[in-house]
Amino acid sequence: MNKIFINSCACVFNAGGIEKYFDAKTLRRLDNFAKLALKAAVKCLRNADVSLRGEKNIALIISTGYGPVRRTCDFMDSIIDDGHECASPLAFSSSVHNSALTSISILLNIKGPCLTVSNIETSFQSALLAARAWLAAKTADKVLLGTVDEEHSVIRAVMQTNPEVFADFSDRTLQAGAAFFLLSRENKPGSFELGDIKRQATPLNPSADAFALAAGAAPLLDYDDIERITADFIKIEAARAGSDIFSVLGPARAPAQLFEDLDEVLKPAVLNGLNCLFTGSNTATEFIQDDITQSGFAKFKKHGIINFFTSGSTGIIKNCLHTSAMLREETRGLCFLFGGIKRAVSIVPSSHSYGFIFGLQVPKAMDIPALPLPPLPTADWRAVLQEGDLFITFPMFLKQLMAMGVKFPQGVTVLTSTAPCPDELIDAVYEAGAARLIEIYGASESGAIAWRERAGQPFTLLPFWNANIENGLLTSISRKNTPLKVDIPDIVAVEAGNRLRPCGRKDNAVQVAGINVYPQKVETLLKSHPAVADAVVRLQRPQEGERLKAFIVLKDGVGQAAAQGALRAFMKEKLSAHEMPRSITFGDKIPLTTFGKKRDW
Amino acid sequence: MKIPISGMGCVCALGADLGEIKKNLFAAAAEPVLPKDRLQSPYADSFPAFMASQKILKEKQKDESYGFLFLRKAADEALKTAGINPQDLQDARVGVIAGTTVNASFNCFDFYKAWRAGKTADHGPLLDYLNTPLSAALQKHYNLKGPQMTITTACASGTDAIGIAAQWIAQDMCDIVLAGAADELNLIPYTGFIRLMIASPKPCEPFAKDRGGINLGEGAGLFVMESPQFMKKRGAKAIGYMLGYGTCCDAYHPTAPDPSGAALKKAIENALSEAGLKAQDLAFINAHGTGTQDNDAAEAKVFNALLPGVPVMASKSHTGHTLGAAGAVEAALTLLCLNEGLIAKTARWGAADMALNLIPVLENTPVAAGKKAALSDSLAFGGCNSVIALAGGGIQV
Repeated sequence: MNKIFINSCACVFNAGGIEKYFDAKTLRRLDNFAKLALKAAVKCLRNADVSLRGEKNIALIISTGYGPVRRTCDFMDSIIDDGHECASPLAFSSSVHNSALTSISILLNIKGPCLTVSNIETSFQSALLAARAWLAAKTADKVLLGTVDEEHSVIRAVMQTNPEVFADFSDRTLQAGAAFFLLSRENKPGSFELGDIKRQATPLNPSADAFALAAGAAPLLDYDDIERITADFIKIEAARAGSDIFSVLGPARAPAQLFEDLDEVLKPAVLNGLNCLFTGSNTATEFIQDDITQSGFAKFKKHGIINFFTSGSTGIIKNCLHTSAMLREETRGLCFLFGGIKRAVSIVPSSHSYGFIFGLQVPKAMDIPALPLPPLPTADWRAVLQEGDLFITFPMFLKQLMAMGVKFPQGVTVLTSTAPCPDELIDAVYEAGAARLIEIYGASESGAIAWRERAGQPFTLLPFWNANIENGLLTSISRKNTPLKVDIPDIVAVEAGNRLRPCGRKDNAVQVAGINVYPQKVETLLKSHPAVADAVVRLQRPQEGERLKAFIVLKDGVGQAAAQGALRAFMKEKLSAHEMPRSITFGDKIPLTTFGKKRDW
Repeated sequence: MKIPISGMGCVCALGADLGEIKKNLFAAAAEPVLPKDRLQSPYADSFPAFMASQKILKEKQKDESYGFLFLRKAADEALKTAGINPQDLQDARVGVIAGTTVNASFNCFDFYKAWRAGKTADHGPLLDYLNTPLSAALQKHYNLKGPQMTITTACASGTDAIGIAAQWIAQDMCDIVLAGAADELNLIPYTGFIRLMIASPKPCEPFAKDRGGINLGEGAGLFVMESPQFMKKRGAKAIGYMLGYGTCCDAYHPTAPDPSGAALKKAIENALSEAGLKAQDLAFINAHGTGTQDNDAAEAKVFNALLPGVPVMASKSHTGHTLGAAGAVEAALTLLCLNEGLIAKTARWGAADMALNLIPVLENTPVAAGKKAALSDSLAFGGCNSVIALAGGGIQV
């Protein structure tokens, strides 16, 4: 048998968001069945980088277990309610099994061979046989093959009342949705060979084989995801550079357009950043400016990683590489937090680890709509939010909302992360009517680590982590199913029952006269001096003062007296007054505990 | 492509088997009648349909639909012509492809009406719909194992079934394929076509000036197609050949054909090309010829441009529009005519439509000498155009 490849696929379980691709007038006459199929078809073609217009010899095969049942009922309703003479001709014409094919072929201009097959739970397998035949006979060069079914109360009721016929009946609802595949004889990058497909479809879930195949073949991110991440990244970079601070707040625009509007000076850096985001390397830029989303998508398909890199005050980029498997593990392990959630409203950019997981991946995994909105602290949020929403925010934004007296509608879950949420802010959010507040403790390196819901509570480690605890402190965590191990950047005390209480950053800011300074930075600078073999910097003990202090091991042969003056001058040139260590101690080796850990001196 | 057809069967308003059908086809003996006994509709007093005879309808078993009855009768006849006892097929790779519209649809009006009113209703028609896609039911009926597929590309389903069956054999997926289609008269399409204003209250007149639309029909057609090797092994003889298949989509309108006929033209070209045929090789084309203004105009335009001088047979004037079954019923009638060497006349034809510049065959006409093959085309809702090229059993290689 000839080899057939899945060049791309897409699976959807609701028709939400289809207005992104077609105007309202075009969509007005389409029923749910056609919209489900159309949305999956468009996403599949976008994932394959196939132009929506112009492919010459592309075939369209639709399989459906039951066809557009709702439309058939609409037509029967119109006969019953309005009489035979007034029955709806539109409902009739869209009640035929071929109706999804009709909409897709017209709107995507597919003029090749077309076929609809329908035999309940064997529909998809039959359609694959037809696709194989057409590709082998060169009836078509490519086949856009899709399966679509919609849930309908009549079918469910019949199944419920005929358990002897539907022996495997349970309380599950009929699985509705659409899965589309672009098949060809070409093994393009990111393609999968179409093998034998295990039959798992049932009368209740006639498309199960297609959904399972799509789940296995689909990349973690599809074209639309990459488009959103890229747009968010460009907006944030533009805002950070101050060239267009309002772009973050502006309406949704395509990445190419956002990029075009960037300051020329900023463009190379943004391309480097995007390359870094999708490949983990910022050394080579292969981004095609004209097709920025497609470039990112191609890179993602090749590497399968996302790099939530950070660039600190030193300007040194720190890579935070996450493979698709790591991101899937995290997403799956978080869904338990969000039972009953019906929609995710996110003001956090999806190019950020937190926004990516909660604003993009969790909604996909839970099959709920995601609504990205700009972080505008206005009182309108009460009108925007609705019962069942997960509102993905960060503390500074929440603080502004609370200051403005914003109240939440009933049934809203507020999510916060990126920085510690002060206890008084948590209380204020509850007082403002939030049904739940979930604070996520995490980092770009690790993703989400732990969560809590109430002020004063310790955090609970998320279920996909194993904890490494030393001396009552959480030192590192490692994933249960993927090879991600992260040293905890904070001092995190472990309380009874493995509850976690972060107590501040280990390596990072301490306050000197009200200003954040970074002992690590001073330490790195000192180590860079030619006279210094090793150095440690930390905050003085309260009885010593409120400044930094340094412990220095000089290189062999370097005199202490000469070094002292030179180092003072060196530091004075490079450091701010707040960063200057008040005292310098010299010694032969860095002070360590008996366990080999650094200690005070 | 040259896939042997070793058996065929057909059921329609013309008759219960090919013998009866042949007699009535050339005599133009079938007439549409008002379906008052079959459909509870106010339209049943004014819009006629071509129905299977009571003799056939009475054979319906309790747990089967009329559509499946027609299909199994056509299959029984086809297997008989092919000299095959289904029990002898247990070791062969046997595919089953069936096209339909009604028999894959939730067109269970009486059940639905009762269910909506909260009453208990007879589940029979509904269970037919849920449990027995035609291809699976036929497979089960003969206890066959192999690939099966029910095609629902509206009115092109039957043509697609035969076209894909030929590919399955050509690609060595199957030794033998039962390929056909069936549909039964049903209130939903009956009302739907009338409400779309494309059904005629008079007997249909394909390609005529006063054509007023379709009459619905019902029935089934089925071919037994097999690989030359398998047929040789059985010592059987071909009664015809499947030579080419073409299918292209208009991407134009949900229910009306593209008036330019561009996709139909391409489908015909593809079928001819696969068959290695030119227009002058064709004995005739069995047109889709529904009798609607738009369909007949689109077909006439393409036939005039692509197949000048090729006689046009309009078999729906004998059978009505059997929807999903049409392609298979018409393929059977096409092969019947090829083997008889006679193109069937159009029944009850009125006056020519000068705008079409096309007059179908009006008298039973002998196939011209040297003509090897015929086309049968189908145009479906959704703009699907499918075409097959068939040759009679006496074809010289």
